[in-house]
Amino acid sequence: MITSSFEYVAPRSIDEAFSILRDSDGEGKVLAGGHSLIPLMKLRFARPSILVDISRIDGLSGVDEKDDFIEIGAMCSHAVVARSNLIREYSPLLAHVAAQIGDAAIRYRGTIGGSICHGDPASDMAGALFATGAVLVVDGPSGKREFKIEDFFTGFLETTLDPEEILLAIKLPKVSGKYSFEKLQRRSIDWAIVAVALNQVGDGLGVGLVNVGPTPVGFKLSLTSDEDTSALLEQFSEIASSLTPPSDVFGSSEYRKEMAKVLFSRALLNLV
Amino acid sequence: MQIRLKVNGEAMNFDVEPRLLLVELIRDHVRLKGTNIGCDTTSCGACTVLIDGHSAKSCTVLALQADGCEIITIEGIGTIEKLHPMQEAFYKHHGLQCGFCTPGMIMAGISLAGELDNPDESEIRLGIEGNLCRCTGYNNIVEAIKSGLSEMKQLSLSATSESQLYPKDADK
Repeated sequence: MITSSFEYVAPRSIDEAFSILRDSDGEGKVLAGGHSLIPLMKLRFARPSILVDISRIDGLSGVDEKDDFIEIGAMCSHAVVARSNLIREYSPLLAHVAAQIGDAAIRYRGTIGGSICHGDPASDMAGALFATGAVLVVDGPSGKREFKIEDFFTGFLETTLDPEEILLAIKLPKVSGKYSFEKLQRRSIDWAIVAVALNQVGDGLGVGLVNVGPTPVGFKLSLTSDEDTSALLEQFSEIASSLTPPSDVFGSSEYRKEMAKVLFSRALLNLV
Repeated sequence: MQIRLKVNGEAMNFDVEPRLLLVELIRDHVRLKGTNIGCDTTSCGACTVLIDGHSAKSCTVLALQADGCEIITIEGIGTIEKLHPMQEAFYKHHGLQCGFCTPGMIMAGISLAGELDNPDESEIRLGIEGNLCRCTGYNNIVEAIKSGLSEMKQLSLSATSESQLYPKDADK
């Protein structure tokens, strides 16, 4: 399958990237690892006329420790996220989830930033970021902005990113609580039919849900005591009843809703 | 657009259209036909090559993205007279039937050398989850990769450097 024609630029600095995006009148599209965008372009679901490859810009692919959070460069591959010692120590859920995305080859090329900006509700990574309470650092013509993950996704494959903006990094609070990730899939390379990510954050339980509506979803449940799983299940079921998961060959909307509850209770049991 | 990259150790320059895929560059411009196009949708792994030592599905990489990189294809790891240990292992363990998936399987297997130390069966199965074989079961492939990885380890071969891929000194 052949993509439609496009112009390709690989800026060496973030300022150069901004100026190319500004001059492209909304026709420019940022290319990270390309493992969401290129398949869409090959199907001609996406036809950007200018592709701005940000992989040659220095400073977007590191993992840094700050006072009470860690900062992950948007161009970090899933393989890097899965293996980074800092992430394994301060946000083990994220490393655990990154290691289950796609397959080994996909994890070397696909990036955390690309995955998030693509806005796919079936993104495992988005679920993990909801559960951990991530903040996204964005830069562009209107200056640097920070978004809580829950304010980032606006619709199916849509985010609040302006076409001239670039996601620079993801900030994660250092968390030491228990976590778990339950993913339902037919084959190990498939997208999740449904997945549930949990991370204890302070006195609450961060929840991220994958593939249960037009956007990734997440919320925080209050933890009264470790033992009180029935109260948590009740809280979850109430929220789950308002979800609108897609129906497709892998399962109906109702099935997904039910499985979200099943996976949630499994995830509670498997918190480590 | 001009790109310069190394394919199997040889520096090459090409003038490419932006939408040319890496697998098309390898097959149609470098004229190496060992790397196959299967699904063309990032699923089957028949087009797996190494980019700077790591497995990549070359149907989902633009040739331009590989500018400046070192590419290793199935043709770059051994010769008919002297197979790469991973190729030897596929031969010994009958890790193929029709052979279409084999180049990708072998490159994915070699890439695992940089990831796993003494992997067990389930780690190998997960390691090649992105490579599909439609002829037969995966048992012989898994056996072959297990044996190939252990042979690579004994010869101190890694996937990350082309100079170490083929055991040139092992003949002596």
